[in-house]
Amino acid sequence: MKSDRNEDPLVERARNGDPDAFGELVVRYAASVSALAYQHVGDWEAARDISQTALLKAYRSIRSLRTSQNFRAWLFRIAINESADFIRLSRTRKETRLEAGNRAVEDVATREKRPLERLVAEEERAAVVAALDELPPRQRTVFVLRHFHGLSNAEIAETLSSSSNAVKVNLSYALKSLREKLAGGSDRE
Amino acid sequence: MNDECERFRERLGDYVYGESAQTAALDRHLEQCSGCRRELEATRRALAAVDRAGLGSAPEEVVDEVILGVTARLHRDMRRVARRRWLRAVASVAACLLLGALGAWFFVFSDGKGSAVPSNGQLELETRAVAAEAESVLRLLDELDRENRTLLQLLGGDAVDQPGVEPDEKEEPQEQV
Repeated sequence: MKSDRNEDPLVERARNGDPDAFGELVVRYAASVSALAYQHVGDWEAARDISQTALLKAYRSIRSLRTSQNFRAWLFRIAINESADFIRLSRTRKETRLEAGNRAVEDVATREKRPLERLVAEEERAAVVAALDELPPRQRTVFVLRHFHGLSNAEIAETLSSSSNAVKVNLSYALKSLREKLAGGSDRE
Repeated sequence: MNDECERFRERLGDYVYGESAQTAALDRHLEQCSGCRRELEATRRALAAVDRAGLGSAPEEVVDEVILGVTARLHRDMRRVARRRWLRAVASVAACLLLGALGAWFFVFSDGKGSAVPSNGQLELETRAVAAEAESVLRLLDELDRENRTLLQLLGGDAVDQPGVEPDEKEEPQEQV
């Protein structure tokens, strides 16, 4: 993550209005931003639109990025805010996420001759999507940044303008919830 | 569950993701506490299920679409900026030409004296100069007139006494019978 600090010449060039440099940053971050959006909204089509919007917003406001700020944290925050806006504005959000989560179940109904392992995997996938969907937004974001994107507590705190302690607490609750839903409950000694 | 178990579970996330500064102490607690061991195992099972769901990375075609979509917009923006810069350059050149033309006009019509609109003093001076020139022209005409009369006298005409009348008009030729 330190290599992504704004001493990175590419980020500095983009900050100074070089569109080619920003184009290279788009290539570098398109995959992680798309995945991040998907992990929030559960739909690839929406994730693609959100990613494009987030990257273009970043391009238009990159001059506001302070040299002390981390580019990835700043970009991820834009993508997370865009995802949150999408979820808030989309009245069909529930349907969209259920669609994504239950794709496996629909497949079972339409394709009878499916190998058993595949069927189990798809059911498990649907369960994971549903479990993530049921996490409160902040817990989901903290978990996604930690688990899928490998950010440290400090980096998550920077991305979300939060404290490391708050991140720890949110991560702890998210893991508890996922444990209960995906691993047959929590120990209650 | 005692206080140590509670502390362990608070730090479970850091422990699982290898960010704990107290790994040795937590390891010691795990050796003694089967409940926390079960908790740790359940957490690892849940995270393994999350990994198997394959939500971690975007499909290549989605990434390509994002890159293409964004770069196409960037190029459109760049073209728009370039067009705006070009128009600005043309406008600057046009403004320079206009200023140059105005400057030339000013110089020509002010006769290089710094102002196209003459002051009252300048107007008076110029009027006097024009009047002087007019007087010299009149004097020249008088001289010409005098020379003209002298020439007529030498030719023996009477026209001298009747200025303004042409000799042909004064004495009509008589008809011959």
